[in-house]
Amino acid sequence: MINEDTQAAITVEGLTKRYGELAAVDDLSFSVRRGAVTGFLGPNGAGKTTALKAIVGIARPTAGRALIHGTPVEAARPDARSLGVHIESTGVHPGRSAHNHLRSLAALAGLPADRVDEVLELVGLAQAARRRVGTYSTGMRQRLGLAAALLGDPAILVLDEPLNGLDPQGIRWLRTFLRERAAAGGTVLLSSHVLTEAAQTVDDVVVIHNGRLVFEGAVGELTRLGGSRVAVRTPTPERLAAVARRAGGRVQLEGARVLIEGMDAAQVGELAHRERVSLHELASDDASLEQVFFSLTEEVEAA
Amino acid sequence: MTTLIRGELIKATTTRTIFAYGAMAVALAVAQVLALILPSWDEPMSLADKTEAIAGLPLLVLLLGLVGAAGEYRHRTAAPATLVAGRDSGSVLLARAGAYAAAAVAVAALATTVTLAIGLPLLARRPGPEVGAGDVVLVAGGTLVAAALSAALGVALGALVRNQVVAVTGTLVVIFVVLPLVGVISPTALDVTPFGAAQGVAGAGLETLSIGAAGAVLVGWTVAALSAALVTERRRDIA
Repeated sequence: MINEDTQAAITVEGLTKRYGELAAVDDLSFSVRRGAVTGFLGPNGAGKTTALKAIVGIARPTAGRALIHGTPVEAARPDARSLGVHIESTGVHPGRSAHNHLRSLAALAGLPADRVDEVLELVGLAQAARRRVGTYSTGMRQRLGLAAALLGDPAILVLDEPLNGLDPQGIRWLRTFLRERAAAGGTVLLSSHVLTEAAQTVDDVVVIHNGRLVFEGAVGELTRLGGSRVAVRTPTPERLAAVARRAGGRVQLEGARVLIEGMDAAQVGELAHRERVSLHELASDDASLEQVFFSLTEEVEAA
Repeated sequence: MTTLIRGELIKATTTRTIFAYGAMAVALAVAQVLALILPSWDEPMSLADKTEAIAGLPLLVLLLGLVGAAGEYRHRTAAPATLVAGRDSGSVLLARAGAYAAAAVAVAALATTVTLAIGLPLLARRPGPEVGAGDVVLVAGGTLVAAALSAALGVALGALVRNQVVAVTGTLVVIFVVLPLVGVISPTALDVTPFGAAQGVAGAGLETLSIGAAGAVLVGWTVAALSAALVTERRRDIA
């Protein structure tokens, strides 16, 4: 018997989607673990949305397959109770109100109508629920898409660029909301091209470029790929630079600021204490996800 | 399937489109009654002409189904429906056809009520045979059946073409350009087209087919179109 606790929530195996000669997704394989927020990252046109469509079963793969809890998505036919989906290219009739849009989806899923008011309240659209969606801002449409994905309170959420168009409060709310769902054992797969924002939300990352996988792992691993360094502010930068070099660090001086590679913040702090060097500031300066992402995709371009 | 039809019916009745079609149906019904009854007021009118004057307009609700189904792809609402339902896209399409058939019956019932309210008193004063209760039941019943089948046919065509503008333009070209040309070549051939058969079922009176035979032809076209749409839908991406 398959143990659902250890099994990946979503598994993608050799997924390929071609439109004529163009391979939008090319032999893509990765898995998404339960109880985590996984970022599906890549620049615009990388094939993220196409891959997500195939994963949830609204686009037919040319080759390969996607599995939900170990069952091919075509056979699993997940409904709103097991899989919540918000993909930008799936929409709403502009002449219909948000309330009626969700009411129709609830009826199609066989969910009680009062669930509509609950999700509208949850995403902060209750006041505007009777307005036609054509009058909504981008952020309001994003919230409506999230409401639709949450209708059946599913264990798995697949969200395409959910941070787009949200105001800072909305981003903060969504980040907290997704973290809480993951902490409660839920699974979230979200795509983004805004890498720095996604980095603050996700546990794991899957990076694709030109439809192909370029990285899969924990977000920390991705950051470490670019190397880590320690940034120090001190009134005696030359002295700190000298002792750090002797200790094996690679040092770069920027005025009163010293950047040390090859040592972590604790090692630098201990060294400064031992050598009686005053420190005004000591911080890890990990390479940003964006820097690593660009280097990864540049490598792919070069190859 | 009931939950699917209910969900699709909510979609079909919660935009302004359905009200626009209802208003158009009433306006056209009034125009038809007045245009066919008032001219040559003192001359006798045959029973066939009188029933044709109160016949329904199934082509309008064919466009309702067509616009609604193609609009699902234009506004990208077909995918969310399939996703939340957890059913195959073919089942959702069948539910959509059922929902638009029900909506079309409501529109046709409204238009027929207006037609009969205006037309019957005028026809009673027009020389010629009297339109009996049986004739009225046959025309009204046929109109509702034709509306349901025509809307389902429209949904099938909309799902096949998917592009709303192309689907509507193509249908109008067929109705107003192709069919008149067919009529010139072979007038009786029009009776076996879906458009001719629909008008026959709705009481327009065909040269070669009874209402029952026209109904069988229309059912055949609708089933064929829905079957083609189902096969195509299951092979295409939903979004």
